[in-house]
Amino acid sequence: MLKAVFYARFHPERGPSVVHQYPNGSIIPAFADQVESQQPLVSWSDVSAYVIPPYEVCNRPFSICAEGHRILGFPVSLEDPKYERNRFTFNVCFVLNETEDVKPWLAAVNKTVAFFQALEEEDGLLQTEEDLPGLRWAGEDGYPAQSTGVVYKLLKSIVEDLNTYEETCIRLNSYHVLNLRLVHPQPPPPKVQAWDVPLLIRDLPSPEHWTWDLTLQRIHPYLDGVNPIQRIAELADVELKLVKRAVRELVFHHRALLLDLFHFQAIYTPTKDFAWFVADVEMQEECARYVALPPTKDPTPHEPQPPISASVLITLYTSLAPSTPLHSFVQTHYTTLLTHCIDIRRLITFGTTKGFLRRIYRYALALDNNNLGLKSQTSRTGEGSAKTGGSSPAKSKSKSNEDAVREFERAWKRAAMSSGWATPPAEPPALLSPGAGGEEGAGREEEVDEKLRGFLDGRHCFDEMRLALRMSERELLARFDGGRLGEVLVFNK
Amino acid sequence: MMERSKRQKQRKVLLMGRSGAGKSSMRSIIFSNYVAKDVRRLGATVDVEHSNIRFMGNLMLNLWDCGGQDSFVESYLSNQRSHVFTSVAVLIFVFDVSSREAATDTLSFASTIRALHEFSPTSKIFVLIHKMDLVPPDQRSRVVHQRALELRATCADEGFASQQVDFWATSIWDQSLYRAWTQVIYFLVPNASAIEEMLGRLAGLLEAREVVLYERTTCLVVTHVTRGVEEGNPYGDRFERMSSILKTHKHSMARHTGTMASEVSFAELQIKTGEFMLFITRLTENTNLAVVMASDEASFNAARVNVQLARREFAHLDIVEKKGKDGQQHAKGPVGSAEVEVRAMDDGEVSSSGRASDR
Repeated sequence: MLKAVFYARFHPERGPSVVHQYPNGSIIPAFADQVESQQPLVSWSDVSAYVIPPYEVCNRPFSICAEGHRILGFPVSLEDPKYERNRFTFNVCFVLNETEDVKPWLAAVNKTVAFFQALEEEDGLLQTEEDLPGLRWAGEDGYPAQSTGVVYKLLKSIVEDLNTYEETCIRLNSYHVLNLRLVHPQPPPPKVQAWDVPLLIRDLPSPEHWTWDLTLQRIHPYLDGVNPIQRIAELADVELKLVKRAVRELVFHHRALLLDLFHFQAIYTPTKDFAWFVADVEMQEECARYVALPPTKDPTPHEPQPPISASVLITLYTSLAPSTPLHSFVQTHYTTLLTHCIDIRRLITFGTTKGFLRRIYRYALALDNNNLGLKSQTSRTGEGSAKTGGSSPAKSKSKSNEDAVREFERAWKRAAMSSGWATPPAEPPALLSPGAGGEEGAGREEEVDEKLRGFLDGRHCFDEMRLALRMSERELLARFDGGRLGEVLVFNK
Repeated sequence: MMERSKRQKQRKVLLMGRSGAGKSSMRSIIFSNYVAKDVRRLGATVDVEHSNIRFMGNLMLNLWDCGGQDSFVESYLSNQRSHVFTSVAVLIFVFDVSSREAATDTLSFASTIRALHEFSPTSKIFVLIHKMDLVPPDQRSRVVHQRALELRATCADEGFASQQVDFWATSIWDQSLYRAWTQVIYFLVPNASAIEEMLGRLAGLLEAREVVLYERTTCLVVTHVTRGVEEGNPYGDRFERMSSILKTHKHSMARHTGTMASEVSFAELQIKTGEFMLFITRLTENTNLAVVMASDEASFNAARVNVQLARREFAHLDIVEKKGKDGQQHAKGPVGSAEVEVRAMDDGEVSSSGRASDR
């Protein structure tokens, strides 16, 4: 929160002095208990040497902390013979609490000072304002003279707008406009995976107001909270990389959330935040409204559905456990779900977005020694190449579709950048097509097995495998049981 | 004054006055080789600007050029009072003669010297009545006199004896600036009398009409010795005029050789006319000597050689504090050998240096 803003200048006779301050009394004590004034936040004589420093140090950001407050400034010294003593030195400072994070404010200070500098360089506004007869200086009787000059009003708007809206747009005249916005630096969002499901939580601005880029235009119809990224890429016929990037942007600007891939083999469990849900009546009501299915098309009018009671919801949620896949959960509570017309997908989604329900992923680890050696991180380059000397074709095949595409692109780039002797790969690698052909049955099996082997290092969840290989979980487990991949350990995390 | 080391003497000099009085301009011209018309470009001094200037090798001037804006002056008189006014050797207070607020200026002066008296009651005060070029020539002496009277009374009120205060009228456009600052330097140079004594003896031996010792960078005259005929010279201000001329000469040399004024120097300068002969040459590391002789070739050349020989003895001036009595003995030695040289000259022989039994 901005405590105060002031404009100070090196006056040829008075020396460094505060010309304008808002609120009144924040730096220079107001004249004799004026109305709407406050006690000074800092002592001017202590900080004046740093607000108006020697010329060599001017024209760069300069700030000082005093008495629990931080004064962010940017002293500017304009050299020109037209000024008395050949220089016009001034500063516009923001006064904040010492403990507050300064990063959003630094840009605002710089921009404000640049604005003032433009006012002076182009129109000489700051100098002429001081020559106005009706002007009062901070601390004088009759400060602020609201009808004289523009600087006081400017400072007042800055403080009030930034504190209320965190942004401001002040128009002095047709070509002097000050736009400020406090931007809180945010960490970049985590990487988006092909098996994440984006859900739009806010409407995007309509295309008339805000141009959508091509990717967004193509994928928008499929952002429904059901399709995973890979599926969206297929449906919209857009490259996977671009879809990921677009979704990442949406997540960064808080317009979309990432959910897990919903299917009935999934396992969910409540987290410790569930206690919060139990205590919060408003959230329970919101949940009830969200998960209720719309009334069935019953021609006979009857009373509207009674809202789902909190106890029902709580019972349902608490019966989710790490041992219960969703399909068995549904079977157990079938009647409850039916009577209360509860949408099971929405029930789960509400929990995961609010944070009191957690998805448990399944991973598979092949206990084959060969595989362990191949995939262990430390010996990736060394051992890997040594061991796969004989089985390099196998290794090259055990990649997901994305990796294959990436390799292909890299090979192309390498060929293009080299002197021209290397022939780029003629065609993209054969991607796995959904549904194995009958006549190639046996060969296909082997291929798929090899691909699958690549995922069995305990770091790839079943969702990823399923999407990449286009197999259901049952098929995956069948393959593991088949024994061709050696002993496979399946665990949940 | 505090002696930092046996070799060096530090002197703190405060330069104060109202804003725009001309303090920084004076400082730039004297110490930084600015020309009078360059000072128009100077900006206002923000708070205090410190310069450390070496003088004559063993004198270190700590010059405090204090900004004259109201808020700074307030600060010097209140929260920085002891820091500013302790251990002051000289206060140079500059008045702008064209100022419309003479009464306020006098009040400000009174507050300043009151603070000075609190912490450095034995310091010397130089009052410079500056920008005299703005006063019509016929009114000048009257204006200065009036001001001086008024300010003397103020000084007396604040407890300073009249011999502690000196008044000078100055302007950057003529040599009066050099005159005033010469007096300041003369007051500060620690062994002025010893130097004068040696110079006096040298002048006698050379049979010079006048010898002038001046500092090389600032061209300020440190001291001079006048003998015989020359004492009737009507140009009492010739020393500061010399300073001014030499300074200008430096600048024109710099312009013509494409170097900085601070780097420019000459080995020797000679002027010979029918009336007199003058040469200027290096005496010590920081000073030059100007010698005025009668228009006689033989004695002129002898003088040149003798000055070269005398250099070594004057170099010892830098550490004369340490040697004390020995310094006196050194002074005697080469004078003897110089005497030998001169006698040889009288015999009509032109001899080169290195023959005498110099040390």
